[in-house]
Amino acid sequence: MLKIDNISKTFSIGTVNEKLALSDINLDVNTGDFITIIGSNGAGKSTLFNLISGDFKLDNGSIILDGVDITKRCDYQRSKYIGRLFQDPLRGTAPHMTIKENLALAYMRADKNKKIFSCISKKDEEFFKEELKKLDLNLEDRMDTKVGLLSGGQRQALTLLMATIVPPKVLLLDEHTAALDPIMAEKIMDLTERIVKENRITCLMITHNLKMALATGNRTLIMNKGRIIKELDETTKKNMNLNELLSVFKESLNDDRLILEE
Amino acid sequence: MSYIIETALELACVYSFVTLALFLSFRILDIADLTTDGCFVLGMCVSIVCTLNNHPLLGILLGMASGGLAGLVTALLQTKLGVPSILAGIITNTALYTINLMVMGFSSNISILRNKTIFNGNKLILLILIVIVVMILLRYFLSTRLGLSIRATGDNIDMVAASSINPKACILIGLVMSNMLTGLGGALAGQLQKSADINAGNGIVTIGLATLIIGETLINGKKSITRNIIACLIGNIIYRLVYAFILQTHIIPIECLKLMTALIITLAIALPYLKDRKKALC
Repeated sequence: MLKIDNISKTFSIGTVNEKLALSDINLDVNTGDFITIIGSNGAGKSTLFNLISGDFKLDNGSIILDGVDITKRCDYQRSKYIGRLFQDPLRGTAPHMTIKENLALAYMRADKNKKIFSCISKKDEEFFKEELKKLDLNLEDRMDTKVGLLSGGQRQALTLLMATIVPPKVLLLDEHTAALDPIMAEKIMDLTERIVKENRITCLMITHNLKMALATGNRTLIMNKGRIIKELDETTKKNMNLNELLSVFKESLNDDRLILEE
Repeated sequence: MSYIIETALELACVYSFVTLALFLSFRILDIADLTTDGCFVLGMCVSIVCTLNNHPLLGILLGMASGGLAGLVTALLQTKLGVPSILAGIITNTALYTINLMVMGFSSNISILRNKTIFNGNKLILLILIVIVVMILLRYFLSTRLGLSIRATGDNIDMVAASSINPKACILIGLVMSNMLTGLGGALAGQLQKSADINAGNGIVTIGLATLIIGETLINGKKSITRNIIACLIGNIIYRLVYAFILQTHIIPIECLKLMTALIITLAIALPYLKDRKKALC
């Protein structure tokens, strides 16, 4: 479904700061896959996401989504099919606009909502209310509150809803629970899994939490120095415990310095 | 006395278009657009030249459109050529000086004493009507999907791209609209004063900003978009009344007007800041 074919990216080519961020990555993502990605800092995980969502040009290779070559499309064109959440909960929402207005913008990804001179209808408002209810954070009663007044967790939940209110083909989660308190992180993770499952969204998730990486999804990739160095399939994941994953991880990185959390 | 107040209110209406333009670029898009000075004169020249040829209404519309065109140039400099926003405005502004002279047939000043303008009856009532209609249209526009996209562009540009909206298109549309408002202000000002002058725009952007801030401070304008739009008119009324008072009473000699303007503006900007400072630690 998403086919990443031999892509590479080097930053600052020809300067002293030249850095190979990704080299010859190949990845075939099937419809409905939930892939977790782990790897040390600087392994190229976020660069991979940046390239999939179109933040930079590729050096070479191509990205095919549902049979369509999207390599040359820019970020806002891809965002129609590719949703993304960042670690920073502030990145996905406009703080001086209300919850309703933020949702309305996200809802514009659907073609039928492209009438640019139309306002938010009562019907839209009802729909937003229903969707907000599912988050179970009482945000449905605060539709006219400015988003800047919400907590980080609430904003991340809203961002998740915005990214999926028009279900994307692919959802990229870049450590999207890392900045939240443990209870909120768990809640967001539950919500993510539910929404992904309900809408059958194909999902890629970067995490530093090995437990989460093992428990979530059907495939796990380990990245290091711009390469995918190991892949665990569903059965391997099922039969593995945390310590085994940790040793596989350490082994695959060899002497790399790591900071790990349980 | 009533004549003085009337004139002050007329000017307040005309210049509130400039303030509305700055509200759109400074507050909504968060871009310092300095096209304003030249753009105002462009609207004025186009309007006066049309009036000279007995098309006053067309003059207003073309004045507005030419302002939009100037905004388009500034926007393209930013989005297509990577010129930083402040510089882009200054560059267009510089170019406009020549363009404005061209429009006026390379004279620095034209008057229209005999030609009919759009102001036949009561000038003030017509002006107030136009201001109110424009304010209502602007308020409506800002709650449409396109308006929301433009607001979000100034608030969190990443989020706009993530909603599959082209942020550069939003900047472009916003700047064109903002400069259309400035052009409209210039076009009305020209016909109101029955003349166009190449230097009529000097310092307009400063006055526009001052009136924006005066209005916002007085009625707590940042609370909502509607308030903020109304604040643009209120700020102008206050500014023009204070100005008229100074001119009339001669408490300040007429030669010191520019200095006085600078002082009023500094005060308007500094007061809210100093008020906030009281709450801060250091």
